[in-house]
Amino acid sequence: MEKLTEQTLKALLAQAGLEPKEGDLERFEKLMDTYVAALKTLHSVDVSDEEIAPTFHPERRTK
Amino acid sequence: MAVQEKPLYYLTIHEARKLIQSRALSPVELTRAVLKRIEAVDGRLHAYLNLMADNALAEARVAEAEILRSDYRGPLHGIPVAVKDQLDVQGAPALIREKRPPESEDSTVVDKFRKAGAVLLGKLAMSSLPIEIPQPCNPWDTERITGGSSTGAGAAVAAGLCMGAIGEDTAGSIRNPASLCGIVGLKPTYGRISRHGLAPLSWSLDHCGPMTWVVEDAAHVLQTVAGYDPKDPTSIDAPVPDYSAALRQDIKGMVIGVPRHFIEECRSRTDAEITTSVDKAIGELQRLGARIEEVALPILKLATIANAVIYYNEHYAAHIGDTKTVIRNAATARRARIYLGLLTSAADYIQAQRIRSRIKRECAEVFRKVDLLALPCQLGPAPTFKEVDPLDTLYKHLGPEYHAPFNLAGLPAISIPCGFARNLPVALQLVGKPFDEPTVLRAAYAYQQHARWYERRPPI
Repeated sequence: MEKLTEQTLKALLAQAGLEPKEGDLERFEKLMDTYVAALKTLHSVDVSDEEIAPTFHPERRTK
Repeated sequence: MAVQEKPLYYLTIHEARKLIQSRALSPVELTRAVLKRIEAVDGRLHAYLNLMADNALAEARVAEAEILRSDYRGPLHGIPVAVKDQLDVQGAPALIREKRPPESEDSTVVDKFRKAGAVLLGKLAMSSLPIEIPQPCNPWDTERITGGSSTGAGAAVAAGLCMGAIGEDTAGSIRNPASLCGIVGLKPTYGRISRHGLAPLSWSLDHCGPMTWVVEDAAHVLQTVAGYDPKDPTSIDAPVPDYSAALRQDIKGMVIGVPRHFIEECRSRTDAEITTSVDKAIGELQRLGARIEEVALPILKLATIANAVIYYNEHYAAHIGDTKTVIRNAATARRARIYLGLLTSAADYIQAQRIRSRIKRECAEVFRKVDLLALPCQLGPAPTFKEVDPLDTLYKHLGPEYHAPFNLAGLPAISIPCGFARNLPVALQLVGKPFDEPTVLRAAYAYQQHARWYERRPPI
């Protein structure tokens, strides 16, 4: 997702059977844009050789 | 009978337990003193959501009777403690669960408190509750926040409204209020303390842990609540060592790693007085005999974002059945987390989990060479309520900061007071290997006994 639009968010909420609280979309617009940008940063590193860690344990097991 | 110069409510657990065991102090007298303190100052601090004074006095009377007949159970017997709202207490509502009927069962942590003979004073406030509930104030300056999300625990322990508390830490929620309120906060290894009966924020990141005035009290509380619990599928069946025994050893020869590159990464977001105080504290650890080494953990810069992605996604999933209620009633930050969870794709979640694997691997490699990591525990001293926007915490978690990486890695991490900036508490963070809480506590205790910041109490 390049930039979040109000329509995209409304569609996501509708799909989940939710309605945003009045004023929330405007209130959270900047935060959501920052989050979308942070998600892009998250994918900026290649960690494809790492396990997905579906079961979490702090002791690392042998790769 | 009061046998100390300081008020009874300011005794540490370690001091009080000796007096109680020797019958020089009655649990009833101690509980009454703490309840009187709550009555005197909690109208200004708002630490308690649900004060159970009558129950606490009844429990104190039982403890007193047991001790008088030489049935002493251990360090928490007759000690007044409290828990964050997130932990279930039989007969009390859990406001974070978005339902008001009283819970029918104690959480495992509360059950362990009861078996240890502790006196449960009540449930403490936390961030993210319905909007109408007042936010706790910082005892060092009531115009300022405590830090969240274990807000009430930070205020209550600092101001003598309980002698120890259990908080919960998903992205710094024990260590953040501990650092801002000048107390000790320990997030243990994931799986060390049962999460049974804990309202989930994020299953794979939630950690219960002690919040106390001094390190020896954190050791006593951890000893009481740690251990395997078959009711929690993520609880780990590992031996529980003697945490107080670890405090008797010095730190000569201990190797402490400092991730300077990461501190630099956070520098533009960190108040200069924080890094100065933390650098001084690291210097003191060196003077106490530790060897300081610079270490590299390159993935730390993305760990906070990865933690946030997992947190918001799991938070949304945890509330799938009551999302409508949360959106209708919850505070701004909690509603925002639900929306952000909804925005997160499976690909984002998997990438975050892979970053979790990478941080575990990088930490395991660094911990072959060092015993602990040392770094700051906050970006700045406690801000005023007026300076804070409800969304600040979420913005904080979208860039590098000091807490979340160790939720992601599941490692034990402690916040230990290391000075003051503009008369507000500053803390050092020490992070250990999985299940090596003894080394974390040992170094924190050595520093505490040398620096003696615990001698200064808030002015309230």
